[in-house]
Amino acid sequence: MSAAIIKSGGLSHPVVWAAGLAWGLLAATRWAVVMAAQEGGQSAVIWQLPPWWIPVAVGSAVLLLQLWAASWQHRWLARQGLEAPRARRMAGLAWLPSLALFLVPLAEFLPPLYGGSLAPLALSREAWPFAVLAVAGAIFIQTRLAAPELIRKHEEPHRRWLAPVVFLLALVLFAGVGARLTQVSNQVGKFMGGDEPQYLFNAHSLAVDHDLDLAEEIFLRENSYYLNPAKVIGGHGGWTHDGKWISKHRPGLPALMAPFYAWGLYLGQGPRKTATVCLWLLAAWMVTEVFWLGRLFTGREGPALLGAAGAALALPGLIYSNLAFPEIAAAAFSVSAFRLLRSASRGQWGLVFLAGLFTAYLPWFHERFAVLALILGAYFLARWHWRSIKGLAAFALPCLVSAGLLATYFMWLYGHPYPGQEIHAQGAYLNPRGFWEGLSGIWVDAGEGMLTYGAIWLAAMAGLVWLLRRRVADGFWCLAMAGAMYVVAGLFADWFGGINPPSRYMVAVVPFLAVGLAAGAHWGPPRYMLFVVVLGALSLAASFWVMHYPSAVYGHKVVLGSGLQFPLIDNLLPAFIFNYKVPEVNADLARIWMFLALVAMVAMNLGNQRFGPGRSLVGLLLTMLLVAGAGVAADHIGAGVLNYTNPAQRVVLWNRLSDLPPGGVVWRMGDDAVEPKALMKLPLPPARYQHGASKTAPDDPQALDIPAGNKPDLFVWGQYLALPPGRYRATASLSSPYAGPEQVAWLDLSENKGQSTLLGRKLSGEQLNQPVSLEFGLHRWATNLEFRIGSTGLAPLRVLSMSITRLEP
Amino acid sequence: MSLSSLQPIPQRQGLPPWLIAVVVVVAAAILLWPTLQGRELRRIAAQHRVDTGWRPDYRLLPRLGLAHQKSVAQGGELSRKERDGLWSELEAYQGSYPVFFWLELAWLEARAGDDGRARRALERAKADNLRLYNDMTRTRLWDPWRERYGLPPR
Repeated sequence: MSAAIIKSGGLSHPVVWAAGLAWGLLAATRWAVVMAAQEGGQSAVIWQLPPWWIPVAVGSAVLLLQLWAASWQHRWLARQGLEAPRARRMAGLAWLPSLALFLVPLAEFLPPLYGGSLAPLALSREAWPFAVLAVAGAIFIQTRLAAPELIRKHEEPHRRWLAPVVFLLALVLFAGVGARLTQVSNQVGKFMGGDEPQYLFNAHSLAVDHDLDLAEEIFLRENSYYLNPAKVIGGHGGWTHDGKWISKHRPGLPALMAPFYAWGLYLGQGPRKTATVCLWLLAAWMVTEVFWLGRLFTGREGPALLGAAGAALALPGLIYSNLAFPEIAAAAFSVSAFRLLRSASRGQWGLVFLAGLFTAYLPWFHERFAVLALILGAYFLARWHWRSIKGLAAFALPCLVSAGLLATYFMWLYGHPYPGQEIHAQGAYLNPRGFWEGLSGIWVDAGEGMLTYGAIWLAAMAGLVWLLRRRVADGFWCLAMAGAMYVVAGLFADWFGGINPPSRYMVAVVPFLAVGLAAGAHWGPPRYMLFVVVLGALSLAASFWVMHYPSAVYGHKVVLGSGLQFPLIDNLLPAFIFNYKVPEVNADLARIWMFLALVAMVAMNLGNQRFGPGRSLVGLLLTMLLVAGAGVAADHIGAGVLNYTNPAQRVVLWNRLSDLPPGGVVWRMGDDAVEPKALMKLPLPPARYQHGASKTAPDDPQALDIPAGNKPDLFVWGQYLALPPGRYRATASLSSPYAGPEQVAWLDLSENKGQSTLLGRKLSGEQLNQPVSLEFGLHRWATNLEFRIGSTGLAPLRVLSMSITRLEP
Repeated sequence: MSLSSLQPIPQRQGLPPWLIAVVVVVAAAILLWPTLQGRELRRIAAQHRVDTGWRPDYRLLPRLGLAHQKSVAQGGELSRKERDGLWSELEAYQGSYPVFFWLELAWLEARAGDDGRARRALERAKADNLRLYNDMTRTRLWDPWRERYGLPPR
């Protein structure tokens, strides 16, 4: 530390040193690995600590860094013209929010020590980076507020080149997502599923036959242009009275994709890839519309760019920019129609006509978007465009023609001018399990919730309230557009969509929520931007993780829990799609987090632009206590943080153990006899990795039967694990009616998708009366590791269980 | 409370309308070019697959696609040699759901006017999967021969 820094007046304030202690203590306590375990009614928390000098060195380094930052901050404030004593006082007090960081180690140590819930420990261990971000943001904001003349907002001239740049950047982003999805689908097989191939099937029929009859496409299996040729699809169709096989999916999206799809066929390239270009364009258009609308409402480009960034970078928009579902198209069409109606002045009937065309097209994506069309119709009336006959004709004519054609289309398909209940996957539209499931799950469900994967939308909702407060009409109509789609989706029996990544039905809501981000950034208090930073970081982390592991968001999984290892995601949130048996528990969990979301929205709508580090500290403490309290309540109501449901969590923990420098002590709180067995053992249900002639055992869904008489071959493989360095034991339980000395099976462990074998073992019939194990050590990360079982075909085999246990770091 | 407050909008300035129209028309023509090929596009796509030796286990697919397009383009005419080739391909086919391809072959035979071979192909389809045979022969494509071949009514 130099003499100049020591002499700096900013460092003489006691708050600076207290803050330094908080930062240093937090940094020093981050290196431990914590394992919580339970056996019967007993529980224990085991801390694996690094050697003592590491926390001391890290804590001291962070303390010095904080002192350097405080010194720099003091000098900066002094340069803004503040008098020296005032600058010293303001600079020192601005560090007051740091004291909230003491709560993190307290939440980790106190509850286990006094036998309390482990939820605060789990949340603190996993979510402390966001507390750090919030505190750092609060210090930054308070420092800025100490010199308020710096943060005056003013109208900016509109730069005409900015919108094309936004469009191009979004296009590049979505093309990058496409490249990543292509890369992954080539690695792990095509993960396209559900309605996507059916929409492409319709696009194929439109491109080649110029009709919607899919019969020829089925006979010629032309879905093979984008799916495995062994797979047969029918477009989710049915016969019309005149002998045509017509999909129940509407032709709006296929008609847009068809020219792009046709280019793929024409060039001999994958037509799905070229059809996706259409989706990129639609998504980039939607993002640009958000930018335009945000700029229109706020008069500023910065907030408008924030809204556009939210629409582009957060899920679900990010991934749906590449998926052949009609949602992203409906989002683009509806926000564009809305913006055109909003910005068209009297006499600009061309814009109104364009809005009419987009509105008229919406129900052709799916009939549920007729709700958006109706609200746009009401907005058209509220904007008084109908006072001129030209204005009325410009909007109403395309809508009426479209409505007539749609009614005729439905008459042809169903014999009445509307689709019946039978077209829905569960034969009914309204959720028979109650409305709370969808209305709350669509936000906070662990696997399907919009906030779970894109927490930034919470700030967007709060921003919409700001829009409503400052521009009643604009706020009302944006809320109407967003709210209508939310209610339509939330009441639906399959509110989570089908086989698709999360929040499919909320994609059409994205642009109207994103405008809220712009409004909040413009009118909200500094606290609002603090929420944006923290929730934005959480959303970006989720987006990055899903892009890293995109196939996992198919098939209704809780993917975030395996990546970020948030217990919050895995056990504390509701998971309606997994657990219909205890809907009451899920409903209560949803209530907890929906209440917390409501409190956060209120907090984002309070606050002012004045220097107030004390208020900031209280706000941060309250926030952390509220989150911890919600965690405790959810831990009490649901399965709890000790219920390790996600096997991938173990691999994350093992990774941390292997990264921990050796030589530290183990510190235990709780019962001495309790060991973290569940965390050390990774079950690999054999039935999940069966191949060839093997079949799931009729009386045990986890076990596997391998018949006799086959050629010697592998029958269980494909776990493709990434394991960190350490010692392991792979164990399998097998049984066979043959108990003689001949070899009946073998086990092995392979790396790199079977390219190299680590070790193996032959098994005779007489060795199968007890579990068999292979112990192995890894000195470096093993990728695509498989625990495989082969049969010689001599005798029938049953594989009862398989697992890999970590023996030591 | 008014829900319709109009804000003053600055006068829009942009490219001349004729330039926008020209760009839109040219772009649309380029974009739509392959779609305008219509059923010829089926032949082009299938030919790409044949030329690149796509999926030997499913090479029947592009060959059926080519034959389908040829039959449509030539009013049903398809040489005996070509149909024989399809028969031998389908006899050797080991993939999933051959019923659809037997029905397609039967349709090509019927259009070519060879009732006997069409009936034989229909029998093969029926033997492979009766449920799908009954369902998929409801298509309008079979209307000209529905009574003649005793196909299930629509």
